[in-house]
Amino acid sequence: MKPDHTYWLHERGTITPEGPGRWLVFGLVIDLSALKEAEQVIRASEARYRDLFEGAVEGVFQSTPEGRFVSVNPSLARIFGCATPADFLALTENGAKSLYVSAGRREEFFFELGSAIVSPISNRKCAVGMVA
Amino acid sequence: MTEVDGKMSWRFDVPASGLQRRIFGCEGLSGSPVLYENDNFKVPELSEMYVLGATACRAAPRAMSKSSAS
Repeated sequence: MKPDHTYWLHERGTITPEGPGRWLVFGLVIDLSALKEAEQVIRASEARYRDLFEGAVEGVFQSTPEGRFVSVNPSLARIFGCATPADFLALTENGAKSLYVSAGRREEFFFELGSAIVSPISNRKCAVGMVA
Repeated sequence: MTEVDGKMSWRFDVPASGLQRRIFGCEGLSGSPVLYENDNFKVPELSEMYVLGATACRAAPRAMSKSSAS
């Protein structure tokens, strides 16, 4: 046994009465330690990603190819004049196209992304209706 | 497990296994009154496990008699 090591054991059993005050218990113990350790590594990794996502100064988002925002960070919400990411998602529930001044700009932007060119952010609308 | 005068006592027979060897450093148990109690191995939920095990055993005969009555 490794010193100062935590084992995660899953134990289950079936009980068969054998007579008054006597039972036969068939138990099975499974070592879940490796699974638990993997879960902890994943949780730590997720926490690091979340800290990065939540605390970034840059606006970060995930969206579907069709333009529906899946998640945005607080900075992106702020950039567009929203108090919270939830407000931003509510504002854009009809899709990301509503953020662009020119209707076809989003498609151009994705085409440019494919060419590793970052689109300028200067022609996006703010939630308050102004052009940034 | 047996119950005498309201006191439950266990007798564990554990075949040799890789898990047994890895955790307890022994090949198996035969007739041991304890399973997890070891100077180097602490199970925080041990007392709760004994209570749950005893409760489940005491409930088992009642469950059987219920099903046979129906």
